[in-house]
Amino acid sequence: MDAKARILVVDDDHPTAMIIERVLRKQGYQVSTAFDGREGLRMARENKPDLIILDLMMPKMDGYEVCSRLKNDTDTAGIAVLMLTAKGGIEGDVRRKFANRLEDRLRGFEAGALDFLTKPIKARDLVKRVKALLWAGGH
Amino acid sequence: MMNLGEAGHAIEVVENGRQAIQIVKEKDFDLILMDVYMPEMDGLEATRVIRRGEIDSGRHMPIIAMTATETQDHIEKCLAAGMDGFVPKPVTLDELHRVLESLLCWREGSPLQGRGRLHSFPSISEGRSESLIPVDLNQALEAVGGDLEILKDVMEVFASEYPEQVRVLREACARRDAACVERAAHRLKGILANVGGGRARELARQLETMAEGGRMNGGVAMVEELEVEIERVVAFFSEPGWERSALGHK
Repeated sequence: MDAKARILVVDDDHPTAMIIERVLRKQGYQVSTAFDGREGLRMARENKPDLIILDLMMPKMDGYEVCSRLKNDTDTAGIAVLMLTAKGGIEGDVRRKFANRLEDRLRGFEAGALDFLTKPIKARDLVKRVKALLWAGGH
Repeated sequence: MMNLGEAGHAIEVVENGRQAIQIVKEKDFDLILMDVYMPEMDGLEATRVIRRGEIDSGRHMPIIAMTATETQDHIEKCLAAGMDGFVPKPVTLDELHRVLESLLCWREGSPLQGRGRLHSFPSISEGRSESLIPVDLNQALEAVGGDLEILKDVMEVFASEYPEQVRVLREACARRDAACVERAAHRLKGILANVGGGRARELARQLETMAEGGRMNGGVAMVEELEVEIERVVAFFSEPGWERSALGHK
C-alpha cells in the first residue's frame, strides 16, 4: 500500500524538486511536481495526492499561503503536508539557526503542515519522514 | 580579557569605538573582540568604519561582537554592520576558545588576506575543504542517497539554469534592490546546499544575509565571486573523474 502512495512536490527550485522526485520514485512512490504554488494547488485539487511536499520560500505564493489554502478547501484539507524549509539562517551559529527554525515551524504548523524537512535535503531523512507521514495517514 | 592574556595571547584594550578605529590603523591584530554598546562610538559604528577602510586593502579583520543580547534582531544588526560572529556576555573562556578555534580553521582554509568581502560566521567544517575541491561531496551524496545518476542529472539541470539566476542576482545588486537580492540569493543558496556547493553556497548565504539587513555595498563584486565559485562547482561535476572520488566517499 505504502509503496504506491502518490506524492506531489511543490518547489520552484528545479534541481531540488528533481532530487526529491527521483529519490522518492526509487522508493516506488508515484511522484508529480509543480513549480509554483498556484500550479501546486491546482494539481492537489485534481489529483488528490496522499502527501504534498511543499517548499516554504516561493515567489508569488509562499508555502504558508499554499498550505492554508489547501487546509481551507474541503477537497484538499485531508492531504498531509510536509514542509520544506531552507531558512537555516547562519551556519555555525546554533542560537540564530534555532530561533529561525522555531519561528518557521510555528508558522508552518499554524498553516497546517504536519512535519518539516530542512534543506539541504538528505535522501535518507526525506524517505523516513515520508514513510512516517504516509503510515500515520493509513497508507 | 585577563583570561586571554593568561592563555598566551597578546592583548590590547581600548575603551570605545573611536579608540578601536585608531589603534587598528596603527597596529596589526588577528582578532577584535568588540563590545556593542560603548560610549562615544558604539561597536557597530566602529565596525562599519573599519570595514569601509578595508575596501582598498582587501584585508578582512575578524571582528567578534561581545553582547548580552542574543535576539535575532540584535545579532542581525551586528552582522549587517560587518561583524563576523559573536560571543555572549558574560564572556566565558569556553566561548572564546570556540570562536578563536573556528577563526583559526577558517584562516587555514582560506587566507583572510585578499578576501576583503568575507563576512562569515566561520564554522569549523567550512574552512578546510574549500581550497581543495569546490564541492562538499558528502553533502551532495547525502542529498541523493548516494545515487550518482540522480546527482549527474541534477547538476545538468543546475548547469543550464544558474546563468539566468546569477544574472537576476547581478542586476538586482546593481539597482540595489535588496528584496530581490535576498530572494535570488536564497534560491541559489538552497540549490547549492543540495549539490554540496561549498564556498559558493556560503557566498550566496552571505549575500542573502547582507540583503536581509539592507546592506548592499560590495554586492556586485560578491556576485562576481559567487559566479566564479559556481563555475568551479559545475566544472567539478563535468570532469570525467569525479565519480571515482565520489565512490571513494561512500
